[in-house]
Amino acid sequence: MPPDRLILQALRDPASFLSRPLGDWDILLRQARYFNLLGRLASLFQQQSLLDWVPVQPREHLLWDLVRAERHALAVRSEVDYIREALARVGIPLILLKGASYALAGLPAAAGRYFSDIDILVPQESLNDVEAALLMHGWISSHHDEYDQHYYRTWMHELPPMQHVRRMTVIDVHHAIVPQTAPVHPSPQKLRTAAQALPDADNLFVLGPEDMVLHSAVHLFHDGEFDNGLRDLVDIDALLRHFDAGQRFWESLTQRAVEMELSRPLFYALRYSSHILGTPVPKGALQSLCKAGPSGIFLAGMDALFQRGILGPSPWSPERRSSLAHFLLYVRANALRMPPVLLARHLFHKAFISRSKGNVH
Amino acid sequence: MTSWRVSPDRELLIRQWSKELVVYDCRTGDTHLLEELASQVFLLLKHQSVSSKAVVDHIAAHFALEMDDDLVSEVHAILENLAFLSLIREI
Amino acid sequence: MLDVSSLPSADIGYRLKSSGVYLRIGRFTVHIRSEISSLFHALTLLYKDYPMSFDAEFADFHVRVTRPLNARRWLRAQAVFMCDGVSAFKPLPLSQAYPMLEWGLNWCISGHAHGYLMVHAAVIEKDGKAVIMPAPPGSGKSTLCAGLISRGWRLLSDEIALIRLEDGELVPHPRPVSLKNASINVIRSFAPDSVMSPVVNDTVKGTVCHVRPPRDSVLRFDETAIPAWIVFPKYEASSLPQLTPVPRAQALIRVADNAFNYSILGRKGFETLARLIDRVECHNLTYSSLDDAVEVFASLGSQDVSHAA
Repeated sequence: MPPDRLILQALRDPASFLSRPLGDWDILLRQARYFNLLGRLASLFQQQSLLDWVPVQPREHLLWDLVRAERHALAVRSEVDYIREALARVGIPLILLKGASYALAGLPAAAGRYFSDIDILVPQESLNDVEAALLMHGWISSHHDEYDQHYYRTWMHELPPMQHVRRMTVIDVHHAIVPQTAPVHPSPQKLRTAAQALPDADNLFVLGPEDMVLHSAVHLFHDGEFDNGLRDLVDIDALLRHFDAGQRFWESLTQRAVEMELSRPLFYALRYSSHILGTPVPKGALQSLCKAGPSGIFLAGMDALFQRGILGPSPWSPERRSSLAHFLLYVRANALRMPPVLLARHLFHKAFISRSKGNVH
Repeated sequence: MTSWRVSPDRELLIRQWSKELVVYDCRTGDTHLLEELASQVFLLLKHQSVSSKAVVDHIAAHFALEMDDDLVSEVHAILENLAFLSLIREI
Repeated sequence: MLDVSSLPSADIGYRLKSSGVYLRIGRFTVHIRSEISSLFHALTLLYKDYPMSFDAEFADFHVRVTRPLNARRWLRAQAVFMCDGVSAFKPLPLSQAYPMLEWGLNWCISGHAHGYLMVHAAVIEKDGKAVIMPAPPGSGKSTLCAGLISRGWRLLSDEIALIRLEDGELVPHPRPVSLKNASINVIRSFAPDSVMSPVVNDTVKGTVCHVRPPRDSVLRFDETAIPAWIVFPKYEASSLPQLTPVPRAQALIRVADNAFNYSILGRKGFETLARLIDRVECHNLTYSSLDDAVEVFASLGSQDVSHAA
C-alpha cells in the first residue's frame, strides 16, 4: 500500500491494520500526528477493543495520546461552564458549534478530537451584549487593529476571536455559519430554531443533526483549499455514521441541504466521505444531490483536486517522496501547531491557604 | 447565619500528611494545599453542614486558641477562600 | 544492536547525513538525522556506549537537526530542530546544533510520553534506592548530579524523571548531563576523568557543555529503581551542608510544580504523585561544595534523619 494511504486504511478499518508490519505503524503514527488525527485513531482502537492487539511500541503512543484526549475533554467541559456562567445574564440560548458541541453532546466524533477554540452561535442582534459579557468576565479581543475588527464583523460571520486573560482559552462567537461574503445564505434563524437542548445542562444547545453535518460540510471546501481536509472529512464520516438511523435521516439531510442552500457542500461531503473513508451513504442520497454538484470533466477535476488536497502534499505523498528515509524538509503551516490542549501546559492551580500569612496565594 | 459544607457533588481526592491536606479537584484539575488551620476547617465540613460560628468555635477548641477578633476574621477568610475555590459551599 | 563505539565512525557519519541512525536511549528509540558535523562528533563521543543501528522498523521519535532552507543560510549559519517535520524551536546558531538536539529530545519526550509522570528532575540511584532531585533551572541540580555520578551513583536521568504510572517505579533515561557556565570548571576539577563535549558559548542558557554518563548507567538502562528520597537541592555559596525535612504535603506541591505533565495526567497524575510522596522521605538540601553534598548523599541511607511526616 502506498505509504500515504496508510492513515486512510487505519481510519476505515482499524482491525485490518493489526497485522501490518511494525514499519507501517511507525509511518501511521507520524501521519496521524501530522493530520491531527492521532487522538481519533487511538480512540477508534480503544472503542473497538483492539488496543491489546496493537504491537507494544506503537500501542504506547496510542495510550499516551488517550491520556491527552481525556484531559482535553475535561478541559472543554470546564471551559464551556465558564462561558455559560459569563453569558448567563445575556438571556440567549447558548448554542455550541463544532468540537465543543460534539464533546458536550457525547458524540463519537468528539473522541480524540483536539481543538483550541470554543465556537458558539448567537443571534446577530446579541453580538454586542455577548461581547460585553465576555469582556466583563476576562476575555479580551485578539485583534486590535481596526481593519481586522471591521473585517471580522462585516465580512466574516463572527466577532474576532477572544482570548481569556487567565486561562488563555479562545472563544469564537459566530452569528452565522458561512461568511457574509459567501454566495449562499443559510438562515441562522433556522439553525437556531432547530437547535437541540442538551440534557443535564442548563441552557446549552447544539445544532440539529442535519445542521451539524451541513456545518461540517461547509468547511470542507473553503476558498478553493482543503485546509484541514482529512480531519474535516473524518468529522463528517463520524457524524454521518452516528446519525444514520435509516432512510429518514438521509432524506431529511438532503432536504435540509436544499432548504439551507448547502446542497453543493453536502454533495462533496457525501461523495468524498464515502469514497475515501467508506461511509455507508445510500446511493439514493448521493443521486438526489447529483444535480447540485458539477459533472463530467468538472467533477473529475474536483475529484482530482480533492484527492490531492485531502492528504497532501504531505511528506508521504508520491510526488514528494523519494524514499521514506529522505523525506524533505516540509513544514505545513497547519500542522505546525501541535494540537494544543485547551489549558496551558502547566496550568496547575495551587492554593496555599495559610494561617500565618493570612491570605490565599 | 451562614452554614457551610464541602460541596457534595464535587469529586475530590484527599490526602493527609501530618496536619496538612492536599485536595485534588477532579473536575477542574486543580490541586490545593491546605495547611493546618484550613485543613481542620475542611475536615470539619466534609460530611456535615456547620455554621460559621460553630466553625470558629471548633477551631478555637481544637487548637486551644483565644477566641478573639483575629481568630474570627482568620477563620472567615479561610471559609471564603475555600468557597472561592469551590471546595465548600454555602448552605 | 551494537553500541556506537563498535560501529565504524565513517559509517555513522554517512548514515547520519542520509537515512539517519537509530539510537536506543532508555526505553526510547530515536531516529536522528543531521548533516552537521559538530553534532556528529558530540554524538559519537557522548553516546559511545549506547546501542545504535542503521535500520529499525520503529522509532518513537524521528528528529532532525539541520540547516534551514532560507536566506539566513548564507548570512549567519543556523540550525533547526525538527520532530516529525515540525519545527518547534526558532533556529539557533549552527554552533548550538548538538545542545539543540538534547533540548529537542527533552521537548519530544516531555511532550508525549504520558505513560509516565514526568518531573523536571535528576534521578540517581545507589544500592537499589533512588533519589529524585527536582529543581527549577539554576538550582545546581545538574552540577550536583554530575558530581554524584562521578562518585559511584548510577545516573537514571539528568533532566526528566520518568515515574511509571502503573507501579510508581523510576524508569531510567540516562543522557549526557548538561552543565552551564561555572559548573563546567567545577566538574572539570571535581571529576577530571569526565568526558565532555566541546563548550558552546552564547546560548540562551549561557555557556554549555554535556558530560558523558558512566558506561554502567547506560548499560543498565533497563533496570528500574524504587524511589526512596526526594531532595530539593539549593546551591548557596559558603554555606554548610544542611539537610532539612520537608513536610510531605508541601513536597507534593513542589514536585507537581516541577512536573511536565502533571496537569495532563489529571487524577492519575495526582494519585501517582501521592503514592510517590507516601513512600519517600523529602528534604531540602543546601550546600556550597560538591564534596559536602556527596557526603550528605552517602549518609542518606544510614543517617537517622528525623522526618516530620
